[in-house]
Amino acid sequence: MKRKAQGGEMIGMLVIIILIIVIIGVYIRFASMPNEGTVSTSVTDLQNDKMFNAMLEATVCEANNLEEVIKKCSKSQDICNQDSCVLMKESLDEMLDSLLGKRLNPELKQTYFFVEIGNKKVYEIGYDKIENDCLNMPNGKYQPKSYEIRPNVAVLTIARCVI
Amino acid sequence: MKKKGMIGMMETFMIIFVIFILIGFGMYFFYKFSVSSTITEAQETCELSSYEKLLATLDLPGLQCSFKASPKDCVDTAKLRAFIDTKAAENVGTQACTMKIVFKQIYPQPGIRVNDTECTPDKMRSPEFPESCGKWTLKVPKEELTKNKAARVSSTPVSLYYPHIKQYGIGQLEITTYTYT
Repeated sequence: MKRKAQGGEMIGMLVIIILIIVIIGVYIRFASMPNEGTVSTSVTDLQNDKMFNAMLEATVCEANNLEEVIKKCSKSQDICNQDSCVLMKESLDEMLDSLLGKRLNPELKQTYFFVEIGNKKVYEIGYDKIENDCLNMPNGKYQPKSYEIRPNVAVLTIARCVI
Repeated sequence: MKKKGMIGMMETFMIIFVIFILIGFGMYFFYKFSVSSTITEAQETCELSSYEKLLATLDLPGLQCSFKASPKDCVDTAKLRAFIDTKAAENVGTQACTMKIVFKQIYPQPGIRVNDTECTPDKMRSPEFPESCGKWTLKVPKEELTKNKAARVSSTPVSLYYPHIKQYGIGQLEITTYTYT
């Protein structure tokens, strides 16, 4: 009789343990659901495309846009009676400050922007070690995006680390 | 024997009681996480649908720049002003998601005093334009629709065209979606 009662208690205990395991399983299943999905990636891509387009189209001096200024800089020519490379740097500083603001602060390690003319960096701002640091982060997604000004004049790159 | 039976009954009730408490906890956690994941999904859907709607809006011939009948990837500020004034902007976005849509001018930077000034037709005709004003409000939700809701701002840069002076600037398209927390 006593053994039978003990058997019943054992079954009760087993049911409780199974229920606890099921609850923990459900908790882990929902707690570990990823928050960052493809939505943020596609939005970042869209933002980068629109940013390059808006920057290069923006009127910098007289009727010349930034693309024209960069082309002149690649040929070491003046534009609007100014050094085109100096004008390019000043314009990029102002534009990027308005567009990205604090995100360019190297201490935040979030964004790096640079311009290459003939494989030589002529302008850079942000955190230059972003690639290595981002790849070493457990949830870090390194997202570089480049835009080439044809014909092989210059390449503008923005690299972001999305966590 | 009677006492033993009573104790057995008590044990059984205790076990059933504990089982019900555990089931209750399980249901609570399940409900809590399913609700939070549904809210997250709704927020993402709202965000994505707002972007989709917005991209569709940016492609509207009524807003897009066009030169010699060919469209360009920029927003004509004169067309934008006209679009806002015709109240057609009220239909932009989705019915399910409460949204506020604003085009902000960021390059050339407007003066600090006029940063939050709406670009009305008068302001756009002034000789100081584009430095004379700072934004175009495409859509503002009614106050009662935003009450007790969390605001989430998404933005994307856009190229702005000023036809009066034939110049281009940079703008920021800001979408604020209001969702329950």
